[in-house]
Amino acid sequence: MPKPSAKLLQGTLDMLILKALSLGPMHGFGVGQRIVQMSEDALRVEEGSLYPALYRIEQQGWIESEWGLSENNQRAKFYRLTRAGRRQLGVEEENWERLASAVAKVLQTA
Amino acid sequence: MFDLRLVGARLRGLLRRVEREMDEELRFHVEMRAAENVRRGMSPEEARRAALRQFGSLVRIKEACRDARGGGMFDTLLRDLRYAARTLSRRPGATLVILVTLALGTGANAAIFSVVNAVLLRPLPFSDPDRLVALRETLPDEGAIPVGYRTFAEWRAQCGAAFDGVAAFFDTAYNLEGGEEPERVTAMVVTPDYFDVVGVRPLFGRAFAAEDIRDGAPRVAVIEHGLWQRRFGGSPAALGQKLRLDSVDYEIVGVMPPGEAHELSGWAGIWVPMAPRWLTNPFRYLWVVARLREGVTIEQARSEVERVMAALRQTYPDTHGKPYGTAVDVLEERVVPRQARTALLVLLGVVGCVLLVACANVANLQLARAASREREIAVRAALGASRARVARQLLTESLLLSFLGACGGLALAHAGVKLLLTANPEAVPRLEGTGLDARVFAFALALAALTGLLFGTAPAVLATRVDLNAALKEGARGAGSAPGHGRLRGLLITAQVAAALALLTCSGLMLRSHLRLSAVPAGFDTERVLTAEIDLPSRRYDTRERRVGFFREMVERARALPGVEVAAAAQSIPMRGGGSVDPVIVEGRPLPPRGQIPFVRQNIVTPDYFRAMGMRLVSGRSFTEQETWETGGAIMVNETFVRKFFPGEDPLGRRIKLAEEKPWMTVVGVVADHAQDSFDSEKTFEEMFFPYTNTSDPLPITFMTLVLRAQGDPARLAVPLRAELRRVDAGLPLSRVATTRELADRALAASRFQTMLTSLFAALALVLASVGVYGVVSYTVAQRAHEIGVRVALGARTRDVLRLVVGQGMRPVLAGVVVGLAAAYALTRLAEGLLFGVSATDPATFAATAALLSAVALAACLVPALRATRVDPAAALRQE
Repeated sequence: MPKPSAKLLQGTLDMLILKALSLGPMHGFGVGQRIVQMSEDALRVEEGSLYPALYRIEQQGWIESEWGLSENNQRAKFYRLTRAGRRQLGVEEENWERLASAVAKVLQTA
Repeated sequence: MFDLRLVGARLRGLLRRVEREMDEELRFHVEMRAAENVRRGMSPEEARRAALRQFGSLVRIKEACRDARGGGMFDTLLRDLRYAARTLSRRPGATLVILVTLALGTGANAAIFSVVNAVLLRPLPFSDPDRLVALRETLPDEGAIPVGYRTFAEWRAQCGAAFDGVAAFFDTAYNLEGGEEPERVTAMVVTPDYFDVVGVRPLFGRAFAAEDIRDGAPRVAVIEHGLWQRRFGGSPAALGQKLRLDSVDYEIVGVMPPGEAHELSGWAGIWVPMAPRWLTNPFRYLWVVARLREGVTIEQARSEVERVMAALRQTYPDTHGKPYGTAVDVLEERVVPRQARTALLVLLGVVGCVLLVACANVANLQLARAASREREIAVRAALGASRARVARQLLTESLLLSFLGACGGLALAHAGVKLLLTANPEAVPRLEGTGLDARVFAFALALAALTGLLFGTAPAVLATRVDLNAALKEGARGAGSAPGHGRLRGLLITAQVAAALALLTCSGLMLRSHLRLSAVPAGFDTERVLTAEIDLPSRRYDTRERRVGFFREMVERARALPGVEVAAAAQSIPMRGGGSVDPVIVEGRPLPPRGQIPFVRQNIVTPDYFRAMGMRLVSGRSFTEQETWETGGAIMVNETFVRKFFPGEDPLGRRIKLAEEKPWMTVVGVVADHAQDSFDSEKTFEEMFFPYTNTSDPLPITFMTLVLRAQGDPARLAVPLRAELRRVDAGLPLSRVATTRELADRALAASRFQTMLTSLFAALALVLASVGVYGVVSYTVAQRAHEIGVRVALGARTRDVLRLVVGQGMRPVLAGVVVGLAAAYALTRLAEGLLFGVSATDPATFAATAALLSAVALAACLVPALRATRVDPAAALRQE
């Protein structure tokens, strides 16, 4: 049985996708896999959220896509972080850390 | 124009590619997931099924992706468009009818709008044209008139608070000598600051300066671009060259840019500065244009101008007293006369009505279609499409239609405008600038959007109000039964019949007016007469003998030309204007007080003028070549003159004079009245004729119009006449050569132009409206075939069926006729000023057009009604 997966906060998915892509260009399936791996199976991304998120982020110009060949020589759409995306990732990581530590403090005092 | 098919193809291609890539990407994902499942030990088939299950609803994800792409709206639009295009192409006949209808409607509007745009909306080619005003004097009978020098000088000197500058000009013409052939060139004589005031700069060289009118200053001229091209090949070396005008040399100092620096005076080829000697002329001949100071309103300017005039009235009661008034108007009104403005606005209203009729037709067609699609719409609604979604789909379809129609309309307008320009360039001023520019395109697009909403909204809203249960249960036969459809259809018919009738009535009135105008007896020969003007330079022809001698020789030579029956000359001829007025004192009558002596038109003619023009001599005799003061100072008068000065008396032998100190002159002949300035003037002016050998002015006739009565085609005489003139004086141009037929045609041109267009549009509206009635009645008959079959089976006779169908079809038509008569009453009032000899509320025209429209509508009802009578009751019942 897979571990119970944590619910993703609104907007967090975008950051995770950016983070996953910061490791290098990848297709949509790979992005989902990467997030699973990086969270050590704690987070699972629904396809129904992943692809709309990819399209939305692309529309914002943080990632760009290109058709290429996958590891098993199939045509696949690869996403790559743009410079704006890298900057955005920085901003979101910082925000997230601030939020996380703030939440942690609240929880500690309780 | 851009290729619509290409754009469509591009859009479709783009849409398809985006969808395909999305499919491929998601498929890849599923395959990867399946491959992973296989690695985990599932069988390939099981793996694939699991992958798909995990993926969830593909459709939902794709929809979410489309939305996320941000282009979601655009995508939906593209999808709607694609769907609409497919729906429309599935019914090519109906779609074509709609497109043609819309193209005609928008085309007519775009064409007329492009004329309005060119004539009324296009700004004058002056800087800040809004601040330019025309200053004029007014007379109760004649309206705004030019001013005399004194008024101009006072305005200029004393209205500085209101105006940045006040300039004056008058129109004239010169014989331009030299070159291959002398030509007559229209010119503006302007005060040196004229170009500064209107804000036009020369292309190169300079405009005028105050030094140009100092005593002894060299004579200078600015020339127009076309003349520069023609005479100097567009070479800059033209500057400093001499231009010989009326045998006097002028130095060219500037060239004006091409286009319309001329609009104040029709068309000027040359500008010369107004020398001070002009400014002592006592007559009212100056047109004054002024530039308002920043922030000064036209009302303030009016009171300034009137203040100065009031002072003049005090000082010069004889020449400036009442009833002379003042007028200050924006310049545009001088360029485009009120009549032309009204005509264009009426035309715009007319095409607006055509578009309404067209829209009503299309709305009805769409309505019928929406009804037959009730089931489809119900199915879509049942599957979860929101009302807004369905309405949007239907509206998209309407808008697609209206935009395609507008494209066709623009093409039609393009052709139509060309036709308009060739049909009549002279009837409307500034028409030459007509074309499809950005503003016309914007207008057509706005019109398309508006019409799309107009004919698309009602069917879309009604369609979404479908009762799902009923529609799905009833099946196809229930179509069209939705509440509101029938009533709406009737309303649309009423509206379009009303609009068409208003138009028909308007065009009927115009047609009657035009026929009346064409039937006005000219009073002169319009078939076999050629006219041509000659202007003698007064410097070379400086004595009375030389001038009289020239015209005598010219007329004699013209008479000797083969094909000439009678030759003569006159100072002014009908339809050309010109001439002057003189005061008249009648022998044996008390002398009227100063300032109230009547003025009468005067004309100067050679003895054969009346014969050459085909004007009837009522009594007495015409002139001879030997008239002098010694022989009695013979003059001739027209019938109106007799009615005014010698009512009920024999005018022959009576004597008049022009001023107390002048000699008496004897009336020797009376000429029948004839049309003078135009065919539509309600008034004939009193006119007296002087023999060219003995005029009131000791140094007369530098200008005369030759009049040649031909044995055959008068136009053929132009070439030999010109050759003959060259033999007499090679330096003189023969200008404004025209047959009297052409002159008469030109005088009718504005009326013909308008009548032609209005009739064309009215006919269009009539056809569209009858097609509309036909369509709706046919539709109803098809809908009610079953019911009619039952009635027939139950014993209804042909007559009953006819009465049923026609009665129902004609009810909204008759309502439309009533509304239309009221609308026509309002519309034709606006056109009142354009009508001649027929009242704007002429009951006969109203009755005739109402009858015509009702008859056509009845015919349109009868065709489907007859079809209804042939319904086979058995077949109709079996359909059940």
